[in-house]
Amino acid sequence: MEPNNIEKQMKEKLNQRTIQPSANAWDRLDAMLSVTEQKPKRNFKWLSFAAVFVGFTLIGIFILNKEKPIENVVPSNPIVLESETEKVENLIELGKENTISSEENQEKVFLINQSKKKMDEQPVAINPKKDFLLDNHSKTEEVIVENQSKEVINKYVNAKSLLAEIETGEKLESPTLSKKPTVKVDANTLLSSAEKEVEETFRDKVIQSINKKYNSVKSTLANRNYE
Amino acid sequence: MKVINLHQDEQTTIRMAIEQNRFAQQQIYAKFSPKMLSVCRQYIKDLQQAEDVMLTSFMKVFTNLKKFEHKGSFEGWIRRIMINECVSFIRVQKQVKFIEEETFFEERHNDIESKFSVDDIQFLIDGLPDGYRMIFNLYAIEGYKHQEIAVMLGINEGTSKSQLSHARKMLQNQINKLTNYENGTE
Repeated sequence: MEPNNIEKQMKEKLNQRTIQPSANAWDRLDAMLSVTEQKPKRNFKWLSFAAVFVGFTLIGIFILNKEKPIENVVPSNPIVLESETEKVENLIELGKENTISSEENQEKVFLINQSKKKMDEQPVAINPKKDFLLDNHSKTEEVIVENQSKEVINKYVNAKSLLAEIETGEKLESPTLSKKPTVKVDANTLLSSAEKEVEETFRDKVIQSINKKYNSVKSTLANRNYE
Repeated sequence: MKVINLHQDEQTTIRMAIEQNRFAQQQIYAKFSPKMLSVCRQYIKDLQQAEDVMLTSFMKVFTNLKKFEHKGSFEGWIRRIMINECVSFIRVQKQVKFIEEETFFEERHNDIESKFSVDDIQFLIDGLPDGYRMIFNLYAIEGYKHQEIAVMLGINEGTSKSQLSHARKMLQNQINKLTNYENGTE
């Protein structure tokens, strides 16, 4: 089985032979190589770290938000109060600008004072005579009004009553919102009672259905005898 | 006057190619591709397919360049990759099946003194069936042993021997025909 002469000749000639590949062969190989080389360049380690970090932060934020108690937002109407105070301030300023000796201004100032009296727990005794000297004490008056507005800010005030109060100077009795329910309800008892109710209704239903079926069977048996 | 060595030594080129230096890779390709295409052509009749297999093999060469231990010749290492790729291509694409034959006959071949051109040789080899051609190439041209061929193709050693003897017989007939044709006797 040794290679003969012709085989040796074949081997020599074939080993010496060269075939030039086509012109675009290298381009094809280059494209294939660049495709395989791009894959390991992608560093997924950093991406995974970033993903984990983002995930943990999101979970943390979610947990923190969950733990925070939901604060009851008391419906306040500060805008109305502010407008009121603005009105009052405007009136005072008007009082400052105009001659205070005029009767109209006297009345306005009186009205302001009246409203202040009612809003303030400790009403400042304002003498109409004293009000003539408002230009001297305007600053102190403003401070008082501001203080009043701060105190009142958390109270619920009806718009109508406010308007009436400013116009007439009399405080209207408006239906106030009940601050807190007087009757305390225990959540557990409520839940247990609800469960009990559900259970009872289920039991009733079962009994009713059994009775119904029993009656139907009874009636069919009775009818059968007749037939 | 300083002389700049434009031709780098093989080891440097290989090292650069490992670092995915495209210029070094192109140098290796340019150096070995004509020979390797010839090797692939021995096994695969169609030149285009042979080139495709050669490119796939070069891909394997560049991706496995780190594994080259610089013990044998670099060309021999590339050649082995080419041969393995050709064999697997033929086995997959052509679905070559070897008939298990344990008995083989010792053929007596005449030492023909006539000189053949490389194209004639390729023509003779192309005339063999895929299985015969593969074993003939591996044994007679590449110098593999039957045991190695058996392991490579997953066949018995006897099958390799019998396939080779069939290939030789067929080749002898073709050579006789060719010589007769050239001498004008046929």
